[in-house]
Amino acid sequence: MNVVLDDLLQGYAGNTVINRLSLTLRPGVTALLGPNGAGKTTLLRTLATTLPPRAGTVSFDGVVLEDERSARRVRNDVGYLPQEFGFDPRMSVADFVTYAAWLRGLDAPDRDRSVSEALELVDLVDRRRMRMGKLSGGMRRRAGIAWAIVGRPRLVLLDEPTVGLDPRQRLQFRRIIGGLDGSIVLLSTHLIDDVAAICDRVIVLHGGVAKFDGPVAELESLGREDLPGHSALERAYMHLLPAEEQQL
Amino acid sequence: MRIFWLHVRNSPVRWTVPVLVALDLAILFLRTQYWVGVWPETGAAAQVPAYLLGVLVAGAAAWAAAAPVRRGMQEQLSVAKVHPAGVDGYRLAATTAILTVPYLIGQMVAFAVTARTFPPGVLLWFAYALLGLSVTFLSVSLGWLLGRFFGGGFGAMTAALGWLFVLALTNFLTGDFVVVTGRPYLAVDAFTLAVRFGCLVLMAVALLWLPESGRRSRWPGQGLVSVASAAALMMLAVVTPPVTNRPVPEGEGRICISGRTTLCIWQEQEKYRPLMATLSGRIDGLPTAFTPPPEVREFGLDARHGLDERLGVSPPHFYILEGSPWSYGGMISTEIMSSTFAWRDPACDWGRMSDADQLRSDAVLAWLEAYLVGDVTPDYSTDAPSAMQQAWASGRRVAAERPLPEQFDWAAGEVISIRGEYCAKR
Repeated sequence: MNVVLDDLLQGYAGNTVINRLSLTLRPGVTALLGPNGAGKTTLLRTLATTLPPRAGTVSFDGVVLEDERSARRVRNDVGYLPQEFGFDPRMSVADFVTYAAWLRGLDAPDRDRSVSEALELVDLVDRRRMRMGKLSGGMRRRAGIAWAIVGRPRLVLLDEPTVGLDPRQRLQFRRIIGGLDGSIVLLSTHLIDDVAAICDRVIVLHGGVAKFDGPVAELESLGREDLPGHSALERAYMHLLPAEEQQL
Repeated sequence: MRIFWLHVRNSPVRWTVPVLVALDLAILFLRTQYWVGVWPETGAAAQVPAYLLGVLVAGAAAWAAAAPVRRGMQEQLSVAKVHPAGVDGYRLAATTAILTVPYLIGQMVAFAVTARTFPPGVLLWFAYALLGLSVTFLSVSLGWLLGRFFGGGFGAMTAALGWLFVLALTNFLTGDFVVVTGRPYLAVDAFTLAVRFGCLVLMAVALLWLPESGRRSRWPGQGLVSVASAAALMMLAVVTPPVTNRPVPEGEGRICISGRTTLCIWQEQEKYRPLMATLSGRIDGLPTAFTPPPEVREFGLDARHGLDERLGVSPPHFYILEGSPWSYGGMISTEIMSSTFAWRDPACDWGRMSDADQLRSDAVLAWLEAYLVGDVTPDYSTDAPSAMQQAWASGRRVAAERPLPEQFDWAAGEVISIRGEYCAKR
């Protein structure tokens, strides 16, 4: 599957948030980096088909998102987890993920298998009967990821999926993402470590424009020793920011 | 079906079921119990909670309608492959099913109670059960509409008040939306039921086309058109008269007890047959000074019933109001007094009747009523003039304090005396 953004213009009211962005997403894990307000969430929401483009086009395997009908055609291939995702605290984990599978249009025979597979991938099989409200923060986040990946959508969009996770849970998360081979995984994050560990490609957004789009190693090579940061990747990220934002 | 059950078991209003069941049964059994053993009364009594609990049902429906907003799930739902009408359709169906269960339990319990004697007319029960079901659906629809617009807490409160407003408005406009009794001469209008359920189906469609919360309309004016359609359909559903007069039955459609006065009741009132037989025996035992009418029928058993009674053309009749013996005892007493004294006979001169004689006849009437009912304490109150009430009390004292032969002597003496004064020819 290919997702192509061509000259995408996006925003809210009078504000432009994404400014003439063009890129192609292919299977693999892509990180979306950028400061707050860079347009990461807006880009994810656009790809999730909740925000129609203001101008330009978004196409999924040649299907251009023009209206609600065309958006619905591709939604079974899109798994989306907002940063603050909603749930019924009294719902069981299994029901929560089953509901997601149904919303994604999975037929009954596929649904049970997909739910089991998703729960297995996020390691919540033995918690499937537990209520969502009783889960710890990390387990809840994993249940959210199961929501996004149930049915193995070909485009998985995760907005800040590792926020609030402890180091062990972040390692678990990386293992989960590693299991999504064959899908396009686009995750927005502030955590450079995650990018280095699991991503094949990085897109750095700033002011709605892609300041960088390429392999992680290429981004690392941009780092300068005089810039703040604990790793080459952090220094490279700082390098892409405007000069006035490079100093701490 | 599994998805439907997923919605049911995760509905935010599932906890209301035991509460609503308890309230429904409390209303059913604590309000009255005269309905036991009469199908139309059973159906009507068991649908009364639908009006009263509509306040809670509408509020709960609003709470359920706003659940995705309350839980912050709009964005996840907006990415659904399933059409928004499908997403809401399951939620609405589950909410409706849950909030209907208490009503249905109430109706089934009422059915089971009356089914022990299984009198005729079970279809009348069924029609009232459907009527109550339509009322429950209406309250759910109202709640859903307001919940989608105003959110959880405020929406629930608005919906509860909205249901009270609907009851008040329909009472003002037509006065017959709320049905509290299933009198045998009335039946639920099949046309009304068809209109109501048709409106409910169309309302459901309108509700499912409400724009998703926090999302743009799919077409201009979508929200306005949906709300206006739902409101108009609800108005149409509630102003259609729910009950209509039944045709006069012949033959087996009625039960008649022969005697000096033949007493006829609707066949559905079978449980009152022993009471009517007792009453008939008491009429037979009246002194010969009394001339009871040859036949008195329960209202609706004569084609002429229902004519303007002020014209004096309605034949003798009585009602059995909520099973009260004082209702039929009182009306039959009045009919016996009317035929005994021939109030309308132009050959008599009742126009010159003195106040004192009027009060004497009132005392006889009260005695006759107490004699026929077999009790001296009426179950009704009245604001009649005090002189009249005193006359009634004196008549009941006769029934309470004197042996029966003495009562008969007194009553016959009064009848002969009064009639002789003003209507000697009879």
